[in-house]
Amino acid sequence: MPWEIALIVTSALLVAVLGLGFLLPKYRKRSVQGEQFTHENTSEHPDTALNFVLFSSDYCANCPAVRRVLTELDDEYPQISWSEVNLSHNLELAKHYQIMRTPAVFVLNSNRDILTRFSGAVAKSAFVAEIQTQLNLHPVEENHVQ
Amino acid sequence: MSSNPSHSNTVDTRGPRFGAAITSALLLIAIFLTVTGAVVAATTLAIIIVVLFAWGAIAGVQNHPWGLIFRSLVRPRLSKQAEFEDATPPRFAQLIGLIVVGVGLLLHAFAVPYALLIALIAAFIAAGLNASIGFCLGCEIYLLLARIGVIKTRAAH
Repeated sequence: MPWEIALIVTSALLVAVLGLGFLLPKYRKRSVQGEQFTHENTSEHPDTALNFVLFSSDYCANCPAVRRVLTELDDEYPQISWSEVNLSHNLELAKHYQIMRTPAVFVLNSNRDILTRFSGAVAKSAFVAEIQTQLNLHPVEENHVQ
Repeated sequence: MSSNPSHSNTVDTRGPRFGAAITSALLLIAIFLTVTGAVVAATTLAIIIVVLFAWGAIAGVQNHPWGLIFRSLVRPRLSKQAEFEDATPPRFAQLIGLIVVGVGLLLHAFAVPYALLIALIAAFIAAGLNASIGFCLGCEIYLLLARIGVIKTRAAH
């Protein structure tokens, strides 16, 4: 094959892989109805309007980033709190809630109803949008610390 | 890749992506050489790539040439904020790369048509996705094998 054609072919391959990376979703979000989180998670804060439960595992490359984002949001939004469950030591929990990958984040209300499930490397903006959406359903006014 | 001092088997998460970028470039060159018919050059480069994969699989990504370059030249120029991940899945990913390109080379030695090209393309897709979006296919395979019990992890002991 002439080198010019080969160059076009390899360039097309490069573009295809980059395009695939662009199209692949970095995370998934699913709204939930009628499901409660019944696991006894002692680090939850029942007095906050929203609780984010982060499911991590021992070999989770993206968990530290999500952990950092949740820590930042915890400081910025007094109405939320977050806690973490290591699924490496809770395989039954992963099976019960069909958590197929980590990091996974459940958004709970004060009644421990699961409002939303996230999985993958969730961007901070997605969590912020979730907080703003969920808090608008509650009578508590937003108190975002700048 | 720089290690977190408090965890000896962890690497800066940006390190494997840096290594994947260089590996992707080498694989793309090898693909180009294969497509143009420069068989000797393509095979030589593929052998070098296999050696590099073997290096990573045996010595770990922290001690891989790309890891050493990242630690000494790249990481000092990046922002200080860094997350660290366990180095085991990226190391396993190197083994996957070794197997894929190694099998391609072996089949190429037995004159199986397009074997080397297919293997290089497969490895390039995996390395390219890791470099561009941080999706490590080999790491995901490791986690799947650990989840179904084929690989015993620390948590299983």
